Amino acid sequence: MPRYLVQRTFPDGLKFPIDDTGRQAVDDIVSSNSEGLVTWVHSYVSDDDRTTWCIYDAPSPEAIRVAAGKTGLPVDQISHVRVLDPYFYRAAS
Amino acid sequence: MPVGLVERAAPLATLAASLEAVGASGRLVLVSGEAGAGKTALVDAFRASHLTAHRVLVGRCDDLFAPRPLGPLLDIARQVGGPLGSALTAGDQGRAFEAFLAELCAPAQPTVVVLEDLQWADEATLDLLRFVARRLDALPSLILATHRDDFGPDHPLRRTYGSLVGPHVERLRLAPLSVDAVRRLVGDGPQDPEALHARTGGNPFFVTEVLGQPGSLPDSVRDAVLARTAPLSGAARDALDAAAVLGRQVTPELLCQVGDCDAAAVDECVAAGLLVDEDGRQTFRHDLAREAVEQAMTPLRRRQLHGRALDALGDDGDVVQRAHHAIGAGDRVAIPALAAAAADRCVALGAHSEAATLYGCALEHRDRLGPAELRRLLDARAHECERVEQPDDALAAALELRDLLTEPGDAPQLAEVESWLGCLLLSAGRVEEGWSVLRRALERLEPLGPSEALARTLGRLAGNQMVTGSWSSAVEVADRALAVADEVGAEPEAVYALGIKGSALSGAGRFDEGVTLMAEALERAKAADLARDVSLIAANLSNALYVSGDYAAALPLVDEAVRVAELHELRVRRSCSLCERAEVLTGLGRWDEAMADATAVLAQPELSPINEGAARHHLGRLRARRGDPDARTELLRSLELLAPLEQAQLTVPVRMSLAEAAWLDDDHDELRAQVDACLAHVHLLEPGMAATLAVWVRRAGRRWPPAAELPPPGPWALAGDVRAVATWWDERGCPYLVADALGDSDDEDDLRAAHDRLLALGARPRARLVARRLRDLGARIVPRGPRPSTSANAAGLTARELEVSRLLAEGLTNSAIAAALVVSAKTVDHHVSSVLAKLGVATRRDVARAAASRGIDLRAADPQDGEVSAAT
Repeated sequence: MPRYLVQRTFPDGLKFPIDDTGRQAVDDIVSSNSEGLVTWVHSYVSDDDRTTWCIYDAPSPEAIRVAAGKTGLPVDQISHVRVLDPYFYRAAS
Repeated sequence: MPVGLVERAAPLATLAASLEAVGASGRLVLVSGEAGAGKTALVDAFRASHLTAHRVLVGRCDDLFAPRPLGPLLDIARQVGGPLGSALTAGDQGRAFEAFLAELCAPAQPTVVVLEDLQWADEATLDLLRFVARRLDALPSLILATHRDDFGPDHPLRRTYGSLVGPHVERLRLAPLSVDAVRRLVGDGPQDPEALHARTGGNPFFVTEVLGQPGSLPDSVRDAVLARTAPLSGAARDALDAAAVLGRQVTPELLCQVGDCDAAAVDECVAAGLLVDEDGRQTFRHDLAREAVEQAMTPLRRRQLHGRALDALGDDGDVVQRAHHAIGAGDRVAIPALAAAAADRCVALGAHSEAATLYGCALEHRDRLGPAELRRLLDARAHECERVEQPDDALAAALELRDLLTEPGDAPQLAEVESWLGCLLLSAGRVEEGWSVLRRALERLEPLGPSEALARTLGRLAGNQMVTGSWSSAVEVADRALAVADEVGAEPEAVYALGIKGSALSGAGRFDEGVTLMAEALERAKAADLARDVSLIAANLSNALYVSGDYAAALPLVDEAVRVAELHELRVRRSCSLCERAEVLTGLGRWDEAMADATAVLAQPELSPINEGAARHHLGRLRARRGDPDARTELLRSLELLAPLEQAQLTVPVRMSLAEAAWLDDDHDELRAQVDACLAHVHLLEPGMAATLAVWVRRAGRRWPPAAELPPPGPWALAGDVRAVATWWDERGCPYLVADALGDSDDEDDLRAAHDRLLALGARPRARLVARRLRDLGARIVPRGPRPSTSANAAGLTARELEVSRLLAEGLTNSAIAAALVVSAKTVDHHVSSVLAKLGVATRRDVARAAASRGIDLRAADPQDGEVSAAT
């Protein structure tokens, strides 16, 4: 499954409360995504809560757009990405 | 409480709400979950608690090699009899569907239909589901359909699933049990709830099986099921093996005969909880158990039992079931005739995919078929494969058939086969061979004088000339086809040729004449009930209209093309019409819908190159315009698929999109290369397509070939009169092309307007170029207007969540909201949580204020259509 980096902007900041409300909101997104074989791996959130960079596994950019439409999340930019980590060469040698 | 019903209060409430909602219009609830999630248990519990006074009709799909066509409807016919039964016996699909509708409309109390295990449904049953779903607005019924949700991306149900949408359709997914639920079920038992939850994944059936095992925990569920069979007597195990091979709803007599056992053995299986008795027929309590038992048998044992089942069913048994057992038994003698007869029955009932498969099974034993039957089956297989868009198999069967027709007496059939085979070869990209086979057919037919076959072949020749841009010869050959068709009184051939002539005239620049002829052909196709031609001509007419710029008029026609193709399960036509609609919707700036159409085409398991190429073109262009990844990869794949067909009308638009994608990436070498490739074919293009090319010719810095014709807005595009181009597209409702034209302006206000429009469309790459042009002009960019992704509402609330927000702002309680929206309180809880999270507030009292601060006007939210206006 290809991996994508999705950048989103929340002009008024994104807030997921650390309680059942937040958990439910996240669960809803996960469950809605799964209908399109889209998996939200994790996200990085800027300090001002206005920008998120989200890592997704999905069959296509279209699947990510459909999932975003269902969950009502904004999409600025979708990039197809691969993983490079600093231990790659150590593991290979 | 039975395991299957733990944590199922919310789904039960949803079902109850759906039942409540049935009035003049009906409801379809799709209940999904993995195997063992408790779908049947949920439906059974719902029947016991809510449906005691209702008429409930139950139909089941079976896990057969090729499922019985309309199997669930046969089950229902057994319960109601009457016209439905006789229509099914007669093999008349249309009449059976109508009779079923009549059953649902008749009684005062709503009828509840339960369709189980749709993942095994045959094509005709899926047709039935779509047929019913489209009529729910006037059907006072509740339809409950259950299916596993672990079917693959190319499963037929996935295609159907996508089309089952709308206000009357609800999806209900049964989640696995939580650890807490498993803990409650274990109670004081010895098992560790967390380990049990981890091992079973919270699957209710697996949990039951494992809890039913005293002592140690089995490693797999298969072992758990098989452990239950261990204490059975030998005879009971024989009965169980027979039941596993026979499938559902087996009479005890058949079970005893196939299992070579007595009734006591069957009773023993029922007592052990492995089989259940339903109205005197035996079925496995759960299909996972049936699968486990079936897989535990040796292949030899399985073949023996299938053989005995075939004998036991006798000559009067259902022919599709007999074919299933003949195939399961590997019975070389019985397979050819039974598979062929079963396939014929599938064709009659509209289960074309199953028919194609079964003809294929019969043909695997071609050494046992007589020459006439072999030819008949090859012909039938080729046509069924073509119909369900398995182009390679269709071509293989047609080629084999052609090679069998070697005797002088075969000449008439040979000409017919070659005429059609030529078209198959052309659409497979074997162009030279295709033309020569098609012309040879014509040479065989012409000396024999006027005939339907001659008219058909001339029409096909004209059609293939038309798509390659040989407009004038296409018109001439279509006229000959028309003359022959009129002489022999062949209306279908006349209608087809008339439609082709219209398309060719329009392509040659005689637009009004062409459109008039196509409209006449469309009317005549409808009058003669020629579904395939209606869909084809409507799509071609739509094509002529949008190529000339009239996207708005094209839309209703292409909608009709899609609808007719879907209604008659014409898969190639459906794919083709969906691609055409994706083009129209892209032009109209309705990109999400265009994307959905193109994606729906690519979800098919097999596609002809033309449809796959066109769908990838539309996706690739949308990706380029939105700045999504892999746009050019997709466009190059499209070109690779379409280039062998040697049709400039297909490749030039893809090359224009490649030029556009390159230009948006600042890759001007590639832009020029693609534009040059387009210019090489400019003499073959329809005038409207040439006009679209003009803008790329200018951007690439190339000159327009002096002799080539160029209607508006082409000349303005070449001259750089961007406002004239923008006005032209504005009048035609094409927002991207308006902004794209204005984006080349030298005027700051034009550029700002273009920039705003592009952001509103989500067209960031083009907006970036416009912003750069503004900067180059020395202007400062001040972003204005709503951001694209947040223009509808700033917090990203879904339409449903907006409704809930509106009611929250009015101060309603959750239960009042549940009543207002006709959903369960649990569902409302979820929505409220989500609204609070998205708005970033802790309490419901803050919803109105938070919404207002984001410019979301809750007063304007309309619960009917979910449209939202946002202050900017």
